Amino acid sequence: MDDKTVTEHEQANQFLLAPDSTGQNRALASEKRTRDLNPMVELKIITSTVDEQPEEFFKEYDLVILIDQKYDMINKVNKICRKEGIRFQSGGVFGWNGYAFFDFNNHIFLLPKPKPVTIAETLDDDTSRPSPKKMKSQSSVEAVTLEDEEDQKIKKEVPFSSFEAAFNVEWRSKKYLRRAKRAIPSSYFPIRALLRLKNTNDEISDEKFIDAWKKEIENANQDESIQVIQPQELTFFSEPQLSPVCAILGGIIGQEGIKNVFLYSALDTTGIMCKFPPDQ
Amino acid sequence: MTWRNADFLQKLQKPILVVGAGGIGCELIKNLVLTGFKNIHVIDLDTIDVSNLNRQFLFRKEHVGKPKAQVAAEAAKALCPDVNIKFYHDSIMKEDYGVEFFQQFAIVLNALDNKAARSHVNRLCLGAVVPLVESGSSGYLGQVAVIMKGKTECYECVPKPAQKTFPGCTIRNTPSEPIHCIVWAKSLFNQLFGEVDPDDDVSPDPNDEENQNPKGNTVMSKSSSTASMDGNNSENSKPVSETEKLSTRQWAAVNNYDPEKLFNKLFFDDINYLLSMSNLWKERRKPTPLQWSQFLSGEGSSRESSVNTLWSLDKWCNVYEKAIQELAKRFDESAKENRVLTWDKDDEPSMNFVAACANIRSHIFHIPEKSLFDVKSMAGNIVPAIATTNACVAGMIVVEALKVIREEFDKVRSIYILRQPNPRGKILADDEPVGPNPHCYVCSSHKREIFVRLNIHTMLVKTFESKILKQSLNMVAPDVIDLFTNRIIISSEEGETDALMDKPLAELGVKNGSQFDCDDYLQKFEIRIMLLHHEEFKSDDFEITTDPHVHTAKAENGVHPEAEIAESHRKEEEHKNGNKEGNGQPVEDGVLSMEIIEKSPGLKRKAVDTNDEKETSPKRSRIIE
Repeated sequence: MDDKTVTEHEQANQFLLAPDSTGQNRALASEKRTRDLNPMVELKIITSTVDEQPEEFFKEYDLVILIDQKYDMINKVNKICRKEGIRFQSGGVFGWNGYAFFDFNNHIFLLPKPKPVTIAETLDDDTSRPSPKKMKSQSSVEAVTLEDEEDQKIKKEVPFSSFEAAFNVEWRSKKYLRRAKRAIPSSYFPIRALLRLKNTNDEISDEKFIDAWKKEIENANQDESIQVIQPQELTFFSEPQLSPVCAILGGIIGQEGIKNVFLYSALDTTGIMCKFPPDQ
Repeated sequence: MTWRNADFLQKLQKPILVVGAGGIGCELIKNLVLTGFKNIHVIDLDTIDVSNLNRQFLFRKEHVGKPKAQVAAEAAKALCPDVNIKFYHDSIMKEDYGVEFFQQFAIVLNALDNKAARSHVNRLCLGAVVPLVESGSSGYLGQVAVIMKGKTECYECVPKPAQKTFPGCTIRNTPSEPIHCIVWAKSLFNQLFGEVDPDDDVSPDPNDEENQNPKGNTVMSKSSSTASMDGNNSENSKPVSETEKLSTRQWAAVNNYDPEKLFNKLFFDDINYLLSMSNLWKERRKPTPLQWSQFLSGEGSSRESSVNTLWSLDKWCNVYEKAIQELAKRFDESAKENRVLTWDKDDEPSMNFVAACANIRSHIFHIPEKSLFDVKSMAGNIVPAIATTNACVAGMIVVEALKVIREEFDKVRSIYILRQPNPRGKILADDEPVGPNPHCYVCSSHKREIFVRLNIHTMLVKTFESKILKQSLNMVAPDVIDLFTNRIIISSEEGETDALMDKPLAELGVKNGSQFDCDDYLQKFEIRIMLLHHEEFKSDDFEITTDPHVHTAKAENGVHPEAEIAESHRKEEEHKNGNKEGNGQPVEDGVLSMEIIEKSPGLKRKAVDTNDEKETSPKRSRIIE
């Protein structure tokens, strides 16, 4: 689904677009090459906006992914998906940086069974522990059962926070104040600033962006001067999107998994999974 | 305001070389073109196979059989018509691609899948002083590292885990894991239908050192004389001694590849013979021999079984019977043209034969059985390639490449994709590059000497060339001269030293302590090898160290099939535990921990025992295949 039209720049930057499709609808222009990738996949093209869709629309799907959408839109669709038990992801790329958000709330995951830790193991000191070789030969008879145990999985529900909760943490509140420093990567502040700024259709000037960035840092009670990403690097959050960053974000979103918020920055080569809001 | 300014675009004009147009390569070429690189050379020797299409997205069904480099270049051109892209459907290891060829590039990006080519490109980039971005992926794991001569460690600064080899006696006598039975079944295929390697014998090994009593005599229980009393084939099936015994193939030929007779020999007589080696079973569960008559041939087939489920033994026996009949027929036909069969995981009878034999043997040894699909991936050494991992790896390669061409060397990082976030939450874990290992036999400027311990009386020149120079030291076209006799032992000039190939080293005047100057002109790689004679080594045993006083390298007995990846898992562990090792540290001691060809486990074990505490693991994990 996409309601936008192809710009000249996108023509050179988005590899699913058919040649010479500048001015056409992006979803339509991407149809043929997407289909070519795997003709066995059922593909439906929608040229309207997410905004126009009634709640009913989303119920058709097992997974909804919003890419490069506005903050309020993500929030709205995430709420619907949470209510209806639909898996939800969103992501976006700002120049050399990007984020991904995952909400698989109320879904059951198959997780490796936590291994029981026996007391003997922890009390053992080095001198009394049999050599690994010896242990192996002693236990080789039961080897089969041991292996089985290792592969055991348990079914477990993993709680996910909503987009709103994840991107609206009250960092100044007492419970997060101490954690904020460790929990927040430097790329979070400009990304959140841009998510906020792009929510309106206003032009974003450099000054506006830097101000918003400073405010985000302040809100989290952080020190501007120790940020890895400094104002002179904020230009790397501008258009166009850096293609390898799109590839990395696309790869992480496509790979799914039990994550909450993923932030990537090519500026300091960090790819971090964050837990927003942090655990208490 | 944009970061994509004139200066940035100018730097993208620099010529770059992409080595490999496979899983990572396709993603990489796409990223490079979309980022705006304008002069790209692509080299790959492969043609497109149907199995590539699920992830190598520049290729379509109609491209099957065409060169990967060519189709990838055409696809890149279609994405961005003003890119200059040049392709080579060729091996990067050919002499056409020497140091001069590499010197034309601002950076080289590796998207390779094998150690030999990676080592080769590493040496040429060092020789040409061109930065190299090395990469690899395996399932959900992946990594990217930048190699710059003198600034970072090179691909060979830390030795790679040895090739996956298993001690012969584990395979032949005492398998304990599914992979042991799969390796055995593949060897069996070759013994019966393929190129026979005498080192891959599948019959019981009576000389298993575990079966020696303290005086060194082989222990045989009384029952050994009754071990092969299976009526019709007892005489041939009884392994008498290495010399008297018929080869497995001769025996099979005499018996017309009769499925029943072969089954009874492999899974009844031979197992009974193993049982007679009573020392083996003191601390192990005994295998249970099986006879063909226990199965009603042809009955055990529920044909629709999925390749992902475990099949019954009846079904496997049925599969075995059909496969062996088909293979025997084919073998007969090829024999007329003086050819033998080669095992191929994608050939149904070949794959079925190996899967059936492996599972029947697993059953006998109480080892968990595996589905046809699992056996296929294990036998074919396949770790599933995952498109999303390749996308991340290729993206990260370009990010590092951009830093290098923008000369932001202090920002260069080595990155690992982890399966679980580390304590700091990183799933793409970044490290500052480690400095060069001063003892590296490839990139250090002063010390290019290694010690090789071998048996000069039994090791042949050709074994020295293939196993040590080529397989272990990754040379392609070596020249070797003995410094004491001034004699050319091996020449890269065709035919010049052919006559010497089958001679033992000692016959050419090589002595304990002899020194060889070895040189690969193409790789600009020179190394001096000090030879140390070891009387107890067999003809193809050897050890490589940088320090003659350290008796052994890290000896991995029965390396896990995923040994290559194990390194990456180790790295993952490290990150999980939050240990960040000191960067720039050289490898602790001089042990090169190269591969030791596992042929005399007895010796190896002794060596390990004396050196348990000294055993070193490589300081850093390296690119996985």
